Formats: sequence, structure tokens, C-alpha cells
Amino acid sequence: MQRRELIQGAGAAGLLGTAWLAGCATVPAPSGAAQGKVVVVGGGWGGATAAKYVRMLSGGRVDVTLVEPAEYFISCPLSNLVLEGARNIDSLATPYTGLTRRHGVRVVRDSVAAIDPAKKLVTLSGGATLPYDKLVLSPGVELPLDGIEGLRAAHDERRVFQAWKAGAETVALRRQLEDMPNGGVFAMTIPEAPYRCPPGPYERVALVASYFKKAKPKSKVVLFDANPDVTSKGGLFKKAWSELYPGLIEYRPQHKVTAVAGNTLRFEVQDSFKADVLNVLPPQRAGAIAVKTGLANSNNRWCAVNYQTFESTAAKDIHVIGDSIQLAAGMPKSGHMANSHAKVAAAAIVAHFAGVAPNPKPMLTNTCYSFVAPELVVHVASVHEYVEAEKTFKTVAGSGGLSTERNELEARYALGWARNIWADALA
Amino acid sequence: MRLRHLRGAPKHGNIRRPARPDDPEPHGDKPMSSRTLTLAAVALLSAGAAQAQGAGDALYTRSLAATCANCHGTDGRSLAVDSGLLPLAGMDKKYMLEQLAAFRDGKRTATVMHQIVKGYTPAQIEAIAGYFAAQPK
Repeated sequence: MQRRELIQGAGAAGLLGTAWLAGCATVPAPSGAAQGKVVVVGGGWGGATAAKYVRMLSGGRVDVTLVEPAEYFISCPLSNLVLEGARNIDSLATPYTGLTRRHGVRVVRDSVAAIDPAKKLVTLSGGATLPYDKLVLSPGVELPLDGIEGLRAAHDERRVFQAWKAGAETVALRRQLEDMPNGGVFAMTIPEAPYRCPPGPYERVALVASYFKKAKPKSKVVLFDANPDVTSKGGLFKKAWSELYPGLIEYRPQHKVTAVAGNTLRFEVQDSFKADVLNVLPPQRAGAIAVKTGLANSNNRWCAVNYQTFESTAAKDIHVIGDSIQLAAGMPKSGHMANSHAKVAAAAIVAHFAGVAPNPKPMLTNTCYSFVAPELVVHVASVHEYVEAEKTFKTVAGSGGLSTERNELEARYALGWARNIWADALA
Repeated sequence: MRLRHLRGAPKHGNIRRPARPDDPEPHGDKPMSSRTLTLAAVALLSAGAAQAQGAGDALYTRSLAATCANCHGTDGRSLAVDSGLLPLAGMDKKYMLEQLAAFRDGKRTATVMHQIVKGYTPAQIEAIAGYFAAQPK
């Protein structure tokens, strides 16, 4: 079966599939001399990077098992280009085989049914159990469909997609846009922050408008934002919308969706709105397994961590990274940031097994590129330092910033960034 | 010296554990006096701690350099040279320090590096440049 069919055919069943153990036959048996046993749950930007870096930084002295239900990692960054038509979903996929072949990570293709922090045991949906000395939990975000009336039914009937976790839904939303008549309306809704990828929705409407401008210029994009204003790169996005797609994009802040009824969106305060294609993003929280394990101790929504090591404040020897954590000030929920978290957690775990103190001053970076057209990009960047006195990360004063204006050079860099960071996590 | 380094002496790896009183004699036939034993233990303890500290410092430096890998490739081995993302592995240390200073001071124009470099102290930049200079290309 071709990779394309695999991804697109995953459809209604999701990307979970049936549980089976991948690669067991080819993985070297865990050596008896290992310093410790690490289980990583979730093979996204955070988990894949953590698995690789624990192996690398320990010189192969720590055993690592990665549990991930999908056969391929599919990048959310660049996935809005699939909606534009500029890219194919296949080009965003990377297999997990590189982690095994190059780094000796044992990859188990399954999802996690339960974690017992007291017994330090992970139970897989397939029934097998994995003991751990250290657990890295990187489950991403959950998009609870039940918080918005009618959304679950609309989703189950394949009428309304989130397409926020890139993959089959991205392809399905693209198809809806292709099927929409010239003169139709695409409406997207953004939940209150924090949510995964702050600039993502603003990039998405720009790229959908780019497609409409070429293929169905009488169409319109309406963006409903629960937030008071654009949450990231506001000036750059608004300028791009009005200059590149005049009259195509309408932005309506302070609109909180309460219900989806047929093709109509209902709001807390304002009048209802009917559109041809809906893309509804519900308010988000930590991945379901983190909530179930009792780690979402911040507002019952996000997982608080000790930022020096990313160890959960709710359970010893469980390190939570990526979009599931309670953010420090100025920290976005982004793939680049999850990759940065992963390296700090991996180094802390390796230090623990080697009997040395964790890094007294870990650092994080974030560089986030957004396409406002297939060949034009804007960025926001930041550098974050751990401040021992306050036990948190803070952005370094004077560092970071935005693009001065949208430009073609950064489109080239953005594609290079993607190749390097995918490889940094998976190859 | 951090006490934590001494508490968790590893079972494996090349970090020596502190000497214990019931250890075999390191040399000679005659039993050592208790004072000699204590001195030997202190010396071994310090050597072990120094090695642990050395291992810690190497890990911290590698972690620091890993904050560049997101864009420039793992250990500075960029796979996107054709996109303008330069490999840092094996780059001459002096050259890298000069370029980073030029980004910081605005003497070399950049899209993002002038913003990133300002997030690091001179000592961190020195350590990063030293790390990448030592990496095979």
C-alpha cells in the first residue's frame, strides 16, 4: 500500500488502527547493562525528540521504548499548505523507522490505556505492560468535541473537521474546499488561548484565501476568534490579509462559538452565521492520557511541571513535555517549543541516571514561521532561560522578535527549518 | 561541588565511585593506617566528583548546543544547506564567534539570527562555538 493511501485511508477510524508491536524483531534486545529504562508516550515533536536525545545523550546507555499508534509522524507545520494546494500530505510524513535504525529506540505501535505512577507501569491498549524508571509523556492536546453543542455529531458525520492534528482530516478539509462552489463561504473558529499553534489559524485563513483567489475568487473566508485580537504576529497577518487578499478575509474577534447546527455557527453573544464549509476548533486541554493519569493539575486542563527538568509536579519520574504542559510566560504551544522541551527533559533524565545534577540553566528556543502565501513567510522567534530564583522560564530580555515584513527568503528558510527539525526529531 | 553528584554514584559507566573502607588495598601488602585510608578515600572521592562534574558539564554544553539543532541540524549537521541553513559542525570557532558578534551588533544582516543570538550570554556563545568546532563535519 502506498503511503498516500495509508494516510488518506485512515479516515474515520482515525490513525490509531489495531494494536500491534512494530519492529520487535529488528530491535536489539535491551542490554542488561543499561543504566535505566525510559518509556516515551507519544511520537510527536516532543516525544520523538525525547526518545532520540535520551539515546544520544546517554551514549546508548539508557533503554528507550517509544509508544505511538501511528505509523508515520505527520507534521502540523506546513500542513496549511496542503489546504492551499501547494503541498501534498505525503510530503509531511516521516516514518519512525529512523529512530530504531539509527538510535536503537524500540518503537511500539500502540496507544496507552493506563499509566500507574505508583507501580511505574504503562499498560497498552493491546494489553501489554511496560515498566519504566522514567516516563516521558508527550500526548499533545485533546480537542474535546463535547464542549460545543452539535460538534461531535457534525464531526462524526464527517461534515465538520478540526484538521488541527494534521493527517486524514487535513486531506478531508482540502476536499471540502475543492468541492465548495465559487462564491461559497469558509468559516473558521478559534478557541480562547492557550491553544496549539497560536499563529496557525491566521496562517490557515491566509492560505485558504490564496487558494480561493486563484480557483474561486468570488468566495469568502470569515474567521471568528474567541480572543480579543489576533494572538500572534497580528500586524503582519492583518497587513498580508488586506494587501494580498483584499475583500477575501473578514476577521471577527470576540466571537465564542457555543453550537454547530447544520451549517450554522451559534455564538455566545452575536448573531448566528451560516457558511458552506466550517472548521471549528474547540477549546483545548492536555492530551487525554495525561488528564486520566491525574497530571492535569493546573485548572484540570494543563500539566504543571518543574521547569528545570519537566518532571510533573503531580507524579515523580513522569516528565511531561510539549503542548500538554502549563506554559511559562511567553512560551507558545508549538512544535519547535516541544522539541526544545524534549531536549531539556532528555538531558535531565540522562543526568539522573549518570548521577549528576540536572542542568542548572537550561535554555529553550522557539522559531515559528507562518506562510501568508505559498512563497511568502513571516516569523516570530524567542529565547527562554530557566531562572532558578523564580523556578520558571523567562524570555531573555532583548532577544527574539518578528519579521520586519513578509518575505521570500524566509519561505526558503521555513522549508529548510522543517527538514532539519523533522530530522532532529526522527532521523 | 554539588553534593547531589556524590549521592547518586552510577552503577555503570566510566564514572568512578567513591572508595569505601572495605575496598581492597589499592597497592602494597601492608595495611594502611586509618589516616592514610581516609586521605586515599578523600582523594578518590574528589576524583569521582570531578569526573561526575566533568560529565555534567559536557552534558550541559551539549544540551546548550542542541538549542541550535532545530534549525541547523542535530549536532550542527544541517540537511538543508540548499535552503540557506548552514551546517555548524566543524565550523572554525573564531569564525563562528565573529559571525555571531556581527549578528548581535547588526554588522551582518539577518532575518532571525540577530534576534536569537541576543538570548545567549558571551560565555554560552563561547561554549556553543567550541562544541560545534569539535564536531566532525
